[in-house]
Amino acid sequence: MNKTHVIFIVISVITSAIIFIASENIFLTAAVLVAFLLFTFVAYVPNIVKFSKVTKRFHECYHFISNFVISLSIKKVIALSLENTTLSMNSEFVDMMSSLENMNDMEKLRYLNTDYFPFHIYRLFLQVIDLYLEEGGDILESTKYLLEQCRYGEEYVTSSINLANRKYVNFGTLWAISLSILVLLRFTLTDFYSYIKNQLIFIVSLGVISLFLMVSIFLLIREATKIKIKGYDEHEKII
Amino acid sequence: MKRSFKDRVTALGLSYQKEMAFLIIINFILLIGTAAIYLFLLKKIIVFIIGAALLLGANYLYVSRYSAMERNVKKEHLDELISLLSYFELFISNGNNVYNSFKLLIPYSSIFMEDAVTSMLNQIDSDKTVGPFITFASKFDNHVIESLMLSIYQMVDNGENSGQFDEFSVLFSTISKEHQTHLIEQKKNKLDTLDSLPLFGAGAITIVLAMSILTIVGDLIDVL
Repeated sequence: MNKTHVIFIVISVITSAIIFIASENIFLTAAVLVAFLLFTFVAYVPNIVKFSKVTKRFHECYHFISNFVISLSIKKVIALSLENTTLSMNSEFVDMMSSLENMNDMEKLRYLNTDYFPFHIYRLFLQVIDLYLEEGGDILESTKYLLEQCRYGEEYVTSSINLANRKYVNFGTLWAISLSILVLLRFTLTDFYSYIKNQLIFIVSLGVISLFLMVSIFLLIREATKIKIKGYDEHEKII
Repeated sequence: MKRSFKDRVTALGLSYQKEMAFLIIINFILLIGTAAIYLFLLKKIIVFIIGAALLLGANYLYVSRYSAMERNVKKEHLDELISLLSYFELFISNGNNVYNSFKLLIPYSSIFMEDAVTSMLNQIDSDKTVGPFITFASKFDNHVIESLMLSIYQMVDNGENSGQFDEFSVLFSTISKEHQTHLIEQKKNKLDTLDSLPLFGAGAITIVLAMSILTIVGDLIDVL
């Protein structure tokens, strides 16, 4: 269970508490809590976790390629450049590279493409490195366009993350204000509430509104976590 | 040439038979529902008018979604082509000729793009004019792509000299940057449309409370 799970469990409990305050119906509250938790574990968190993983990996890939190219332009040797670049990466990456001790440097670089950096940009980087090993030349010049595409990709990923985070805050605030109407009226119009809380139509309506809230959160997460990085979900949507 | 409806559905990767079966089922349910309401609930001509309107609406929505799907597929293809042309630029800058650079794109291509590139390369083998490049560009229905392909053809025609490549590079850099901005704008717009959902929620809560108040008022009138 990670931080995202905890955040959504807290949101589930708060929403259920609001529904309980508004309806004083324990069955509806339990149903909302169960449905919210179901959405959390089946739809919300898996999408967010996948998005975080892809964007984090792309950041790492961008960092790795840039550092490797700069290092190679100075050291002129693959082994030293790989060693230097690995030291600048995170502990997960360093641990993985340590487990590849029996491979040579190019095998290590190619292995990264199989699972860790499955992006097209990394495959192109490997092609440029192969060409550099065969023909030599200026690595900074050979990777000029590759680094430009990496930078575009990085800008796109960063903008996507910022847009998603901003939208989560907006969306959460708007829903909080909407739901606060129920709580405020519950305490300001106590007599009115004591009458309507027993009406079936009111209970059913609260259930429908809760379901709409869950579906709208799902739609937001689905849209916010959509990201196009070539090579990750290869040809998934293209016919 | 205008394609038949069946070809359009099949080109989207859908089964024509399944799509038509689903459309018939929708029509059947609506017809049965309208007839049942008329026979058992409300024997008024308005039921048939509403039923006919629903039938027309459902058919229109169902069939018009193919156009939206086609637009999406075209957009996906254009996105893919712009990505692939950035790889093409890299291959050319690393000393490959135009023909080889297109060949090197194939492992990065979708099935559609692989077919388009392979077919263009086959045409280039027998036709050394600008024709294959224009045919390729016509698959994307976009004038910018046509300009890019013409620029690439000029590279072939002038022997891939660096001046011609620089011209392509400048043109592509502008297009690539614009495309990047467009992608981010599009994501922002899509997210903005979701802002209406909490407002619908607030509206629904207000309606529920208003209905409850009316029920209380109604009960009070009954008592009086």
